[in-house]
Amino acid sequence: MSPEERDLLKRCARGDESAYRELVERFERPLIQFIVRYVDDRSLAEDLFQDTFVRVLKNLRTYRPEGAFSTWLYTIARNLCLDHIKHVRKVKMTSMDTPVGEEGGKVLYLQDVLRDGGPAPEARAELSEEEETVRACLGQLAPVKKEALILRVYHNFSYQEIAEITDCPVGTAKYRVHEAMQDLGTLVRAAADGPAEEAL
Amino acid sequence: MSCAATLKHLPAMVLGDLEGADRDAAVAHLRDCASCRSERARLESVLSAAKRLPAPEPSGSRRERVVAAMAAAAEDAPQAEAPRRGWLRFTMAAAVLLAVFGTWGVATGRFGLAAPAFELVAEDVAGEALVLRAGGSAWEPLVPGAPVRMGDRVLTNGGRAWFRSTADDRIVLADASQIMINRQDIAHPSLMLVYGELWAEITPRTTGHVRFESPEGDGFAEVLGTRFHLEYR
Repeated sequence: MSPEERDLLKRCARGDESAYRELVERFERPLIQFIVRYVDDRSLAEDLFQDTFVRVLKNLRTYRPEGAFSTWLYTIARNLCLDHIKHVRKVKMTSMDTPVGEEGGKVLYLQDVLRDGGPAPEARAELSEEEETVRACLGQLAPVKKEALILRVYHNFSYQEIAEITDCPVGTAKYRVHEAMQDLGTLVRAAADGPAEEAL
Repeated sequence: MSCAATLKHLPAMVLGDLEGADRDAAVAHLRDCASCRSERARLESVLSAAKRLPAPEPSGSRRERVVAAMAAAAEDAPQAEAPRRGWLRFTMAAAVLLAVFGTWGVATGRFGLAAPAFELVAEDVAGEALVLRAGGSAWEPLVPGAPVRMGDRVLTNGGRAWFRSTADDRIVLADASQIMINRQDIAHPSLMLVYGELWAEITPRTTGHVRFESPEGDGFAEVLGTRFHLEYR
């Protein structure tokens, strides 16, 4: 950790709001992108982004800088994302085919009225078909693989750093990244082949 | 190198991780195998598309919102006895836990209450803490040394309370919080965090376990060891 970063954290621990702002500004771009890609829901990602910094602040007193601050920050963000994913799994599910109302004589189903959490329509329109498929398939990866791939591909973390953030051995981190890439390729292929198979 | 082995190495290769003899052998195979070359091109295309996916940009309003939340958290944070004691803090933002066990291995029946009845004794009180006795209708001040038994509720209002249980568990109830001893079962006593925040350090049992509950059944928790922090707002 650089002396400048250490000083910034000390100011944060003392309650200096300008230090909060500096800290958020410094990590905003990569961290919000990490969280958005992890949970694939921009609105939720905004909440988790905020929660990450609040938790950083709450834990600053006990933080012992043994590695890079960014590694600790991503660990907190990752744990919050995982907490959310585990919580969602406990939430009672409602079928997307559930009728929720009627409009102009036509029955409206849940899937018609729910925002799916992905990019807004205007943003989606900018994605190529392949990009849209890849985005959807990323969301289908197992969380431990997806997080490893995101940290590697989008954030250029070393396997050592990925291992620290995801709390696993370095070899496991590397294996997960490669498996995620393999799975992503398989999922994209299956998505591309899907309509043809149905036609058969 | 065979097609199968080459295909196995392709993810590492497109990510730039394949080195040494494996890489040389894979490259040699790809020179002669159109099928594997096609698969490599496909994976590279997937990776390239993944890298092109848009992501949110920095935003001044987001920054200010986060800074405000940090400032509010700094103001609300109780003076941290728990961290000073080196307790593991575990925070949950919304719905809390169904049950937290004093330690792992509950199912084995290796843990349980040493004492025949479970109650808390207030060791110290800072600021205002009130107790509502089971069956009672009036809150009364909680004083150090007072017991808290089955059905009793305790709330803090501008204060904090420290408890020790008959099984030597330690509980710290934060400000603006309420707890209730919810079940008097010798083997499985239960403490409900009605709302607010507490720290707990649980003594390992020889049989049975202790439960911590929230009034809502739709929650979860993870606990490492016997020290944790719960929050339910």
